[in-house]
Amino acid sequence: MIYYISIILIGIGVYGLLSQKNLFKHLISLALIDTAINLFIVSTGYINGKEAPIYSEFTPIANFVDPLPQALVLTAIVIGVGVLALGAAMLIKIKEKYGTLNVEEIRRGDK
Amino acid sequence: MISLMIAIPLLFAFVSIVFKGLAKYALPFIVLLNILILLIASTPVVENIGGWKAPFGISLVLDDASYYVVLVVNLIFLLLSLIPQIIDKGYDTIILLLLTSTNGLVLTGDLFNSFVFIEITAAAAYILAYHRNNPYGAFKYLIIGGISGSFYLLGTIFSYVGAGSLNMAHISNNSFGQLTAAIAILFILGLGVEAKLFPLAGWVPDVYASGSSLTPTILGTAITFAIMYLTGRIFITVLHGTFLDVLYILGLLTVIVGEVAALRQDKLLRALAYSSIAQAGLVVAAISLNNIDSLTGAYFHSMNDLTAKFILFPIATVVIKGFEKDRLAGFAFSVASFSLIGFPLFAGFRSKLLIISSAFSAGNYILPAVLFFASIVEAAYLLKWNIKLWFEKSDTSNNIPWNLKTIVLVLSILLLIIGIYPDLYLDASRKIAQSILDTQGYINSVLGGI
Repeated sequence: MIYYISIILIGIGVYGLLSQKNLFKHLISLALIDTAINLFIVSTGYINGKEAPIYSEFTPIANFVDPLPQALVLTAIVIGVGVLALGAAMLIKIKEKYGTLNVEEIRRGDK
Repeated sequence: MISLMIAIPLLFAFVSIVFKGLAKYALPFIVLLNILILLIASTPVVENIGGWKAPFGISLVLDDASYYVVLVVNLIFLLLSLIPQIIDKGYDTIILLLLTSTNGLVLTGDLFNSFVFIEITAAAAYILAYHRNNPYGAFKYLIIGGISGSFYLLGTIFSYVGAGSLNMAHISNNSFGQLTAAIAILFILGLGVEAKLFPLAGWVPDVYASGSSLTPTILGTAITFAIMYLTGRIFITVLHGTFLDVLYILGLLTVIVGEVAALRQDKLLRALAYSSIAQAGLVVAAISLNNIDSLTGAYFHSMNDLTAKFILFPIATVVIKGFEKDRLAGFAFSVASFSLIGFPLFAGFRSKLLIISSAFSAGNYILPAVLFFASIVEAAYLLKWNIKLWFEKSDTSNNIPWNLKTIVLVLSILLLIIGIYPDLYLDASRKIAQSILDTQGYINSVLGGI
C-alpha cells in the first residue's frame, strides 16, 4: 500500500516541475520526490509484525525488519537536505540578480 | 593504500576551509601523491573498508579499467592545478572535493557508495556552475541533477531488492528476475544527466557557456570521462549488456541534436558546449555496441575529446580579439578543432576510424552514417570559428598567461603525436575495454573464493 503513496508523490513532484513557473515551487517538487523515494526505501525493508533491529534481552530471537534500507535512507536524507539548502541559497542569488523567481521573466531578462 | 586517494583530498578540502588560500598550493602535491600511489600499485587491488569482507562491506576496486581512468582524471587535475589563475578564491575547496568524489566514483565497487559519490560530484558541480555569477544555470542544473540522483538511488534500491546485495560484483553474479528492465531504465535516467544524453542535457549550454573558464574545463573533461567509465561498468559489467539498445538510440539522437544545435549557435562557447554533448552521445553509442573494438574506440575517442576540450574551452574563454597576436594559442586551437572534426593525421581521426570499423564489422550501418553526418556538421561550424578568429584584425594581444599557453601547446603536440603513433592512448583504452568486458574476472577479484 505504501508503495502506491510514494509513486503518487513522485508523480505529483514531476507534475509540479513540468507545470509550475515559480522556481521555488521547482525546489519544493524536488523535495517531494526526495521524500517519496525515502518512503519507498523504508517500505522495502519493512516486514509486517517484525521488530526494530536492536539486540536486547527482550528480543532474544532476531525477529527483525531489514536494517540496511534504514541505514541507506539516513544517508539519502542527509544528501537531500544538503542539495535543498544549496538550491535555496541559489534562489536567493537569482532573486538578487534578476529581481524575480518567475522562469519566463528571467528568460526575458537574459536576452 | 588506494583509499588514501579519497581520504587525502577530502582531508585537505576540510583543512582549506580554515586555512584559506592553502589549497591552491597544496593541490599539485596532492595530485602528485595520488599518481605516485597509482604507480606503485599493481592491479588488481581490492581494499575492504573497515575489514568487512566483500559482499557485506564496501570495497574499493582498482582493476585495469579503474586504474587508467583514475590516472587520466588525476592527470587532468594536475594540469588544472598548473593554471592557478583560473581557480578563483574559494573555489579551491570545491576542486579538492571534486577530486575526492571523482576518485571515489571510479574506485568504488558498491552501488550505494557510487550514488553518494555521484551526489558529492554533482553538489560540487552545482557550485562550480555558479562560478562567475551564473545562478539561473546552476539552479537549472541543480533541479535536473537532483532528480536524476533520486532516480539513481531508486535504481540502487531496486537492485538491492532484486539481487539482495549492493556490491557490484555480487549483483553481477546474482540475477534480477523481472526487475532488470526497471533497474536499467532507472540507471539510464540517473546517469543520463551527467553523461549528457539528449533529453536530459538541457543544462549543459547554460553551465558551460557562463563565461568562466574553470567550469567547462573541469566538468567537460575529468567528470565526463569518469561518468563514461561508470556507464560502461554498470551497463556492461553489472547488468550484462541488457537494455543497451535504449542507450544506443539515445546516444545517436544526442549526436544529431547536439551537432545541429552547435551549428546554429552564434557564440563560440555555446557551440563548444553543444559539441561536447554530441561527443558524449557518440561515446555512449559506441559503448552500447558492447564489443571489444567499439569499447576501445569509445574510450579512445573520449580521451581524444577531453584532450581537445582542455585546449578549446580555456582558449575560447580568454580569446576575444582573434589570433593575430597570439599565433601559438591559435595553433593549439586549430589543432584541437581539427582533431575534434577528425581530419586525417590528427588524433580524432584514429578513434573515429576505429568506431566506424567496429560498427561495420558488427553489421551496423546506422552509427557510421550518423558519424559521417556529425563530422561534416562539425567541420562546418569549427572551420567557421577558426576562419573567424584567424582573420579578425587586432593590434593588441589577448593577454593569455604563459603557463596556459605552454599547457595548450604541449597538449596540441600530444594530439599530433597520437595521430601518428596512437599506441599511448590506444593501449590504455584497450585495457579499459578488456577489463570492463571481463565480468567473470571482476567478480573473481572482488569476491575472491566466495
